[in-house]
Amino acid sequence: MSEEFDFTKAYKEIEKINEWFQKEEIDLEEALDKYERGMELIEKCKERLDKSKNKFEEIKEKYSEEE
Amino acid sequence: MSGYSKKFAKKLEPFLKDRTFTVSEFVDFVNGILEPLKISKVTVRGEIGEDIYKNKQKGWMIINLVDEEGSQLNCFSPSYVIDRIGVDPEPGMEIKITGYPKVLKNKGRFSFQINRIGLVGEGDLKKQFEVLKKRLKEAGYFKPEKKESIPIFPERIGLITSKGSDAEKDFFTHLEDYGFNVKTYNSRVEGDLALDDLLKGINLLNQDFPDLQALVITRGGGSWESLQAFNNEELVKTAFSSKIPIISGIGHENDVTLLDLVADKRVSTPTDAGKFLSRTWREGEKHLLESEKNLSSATKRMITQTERRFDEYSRFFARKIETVLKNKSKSLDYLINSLTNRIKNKIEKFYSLEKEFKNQKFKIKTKLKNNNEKVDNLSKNLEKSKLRWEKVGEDRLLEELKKLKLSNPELKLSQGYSITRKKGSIVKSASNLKKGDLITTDFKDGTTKSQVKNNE
Repeated sequence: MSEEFDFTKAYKEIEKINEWFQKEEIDLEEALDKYERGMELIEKCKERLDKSKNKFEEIKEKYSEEE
Repeated sequence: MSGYSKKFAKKLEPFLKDRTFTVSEFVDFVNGILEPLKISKVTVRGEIGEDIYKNKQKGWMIINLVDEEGSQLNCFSPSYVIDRIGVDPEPGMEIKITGYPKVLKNKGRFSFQINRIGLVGEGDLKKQFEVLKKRLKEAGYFKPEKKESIPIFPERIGLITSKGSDAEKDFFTHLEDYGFNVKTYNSRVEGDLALDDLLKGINLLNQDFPDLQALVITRGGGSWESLQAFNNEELVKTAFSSKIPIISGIGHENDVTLLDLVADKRVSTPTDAGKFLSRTWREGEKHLLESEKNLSSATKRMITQTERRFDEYSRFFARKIETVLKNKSKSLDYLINSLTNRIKNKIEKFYSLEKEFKNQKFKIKTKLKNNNEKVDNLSKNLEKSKLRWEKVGEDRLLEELKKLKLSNPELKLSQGYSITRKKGSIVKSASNLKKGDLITTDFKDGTTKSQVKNNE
């Protein structure tokens, strides 16, 4: 997939879905859609977290001489 | 030092051989030899001597730097260098100067050109710090609203610290595995050259890696003096103008450096820097798992609720329908009853009709029988009558025959009567005949033709 997974966006969407579920009256059809979307996003986020390894790189200076 | 001199002397030989300099030429030559120091810059430490000259208009100063051995160094400081330290140089102040030496042609004096002055004594350092802090604060460098927020889930981090130091180790140890991409710039974090490294680090990372989400500048604890690079005005201004948000962790719990004040986020130590960056990820991870549970339970709850509602509705409807059905069935029963009754009635009527009919039939039979008998009698009577009438008829006929016979004209004729006819028709009266009429007369045994002679 050429699209990069944005963890921050996904996380924010999950929070929104959580909020939505706190409402008094919710539509069942919508609830099932949102549930599916929420679980999908959670799954992707968990994957991202599981696969993550930190990467360290030392930067070499471009210019070795000062002015 | 001698080995160095020897090598150097060898290099200079070609320039000196068989040459007599003028004063200017010589001074230029010596300054040429000193040129490498201008390029590399030197740092000298000493105390400010008694004689200070300050140019009131332009602000530059000439001071004498002395050391314990009594050696003296004549120094020239431009005004901006003085401004930078924030305090006025005074005799007795211990300072570090960075710059290069040259021989002043017109004065014939060996003079140190100062590029930067740093205070050494702790008291002076503190004074300088307070002055600078006040000035920068008033200029708005430390305003909270000017601080940028660090992204919630930072991934790309820049790190400016001393390679191999405990600070570096502590930072990485506490940076949890959440897919961080850390670009490290090796920088001195104390001494005179630290400032340059720090400035370069900030500028380089901003320039070459503009998509970094946070820039961590960190070092371990140390003396107040060793932290001086982090109280530098230029560093503050550079940090302030950094597009990448800066996290400073200068490892000094009690005292806050100017970098700490201008940074977008301050943490105490390198450890805390690592923890800080990981915190949102860790909490996010926990929150995700909670959300997962909540979503499932919320949805389950919803489904249960909906099922319950369905049950209620279906029971409600069932009851309603039952009632409706009952009512309908009652009215249906009623209909059926009345219909049944009507039919029963009709059937009964029919049966009674049938009975009646049967009775009638019987009556009819009887009547028929009577009629038959009557007819029989009638026909018998008729027969009898017929016979009688036949007899009567016969008798009458015979009578009539007799009469007829008697009436028979032939008889009359034989008795002597005759039939007179005129033109075929019988003449019944003499008046009907006139003279000359031709007549026929029938006798018993024949006919004669005659003519009337006269009528009497």
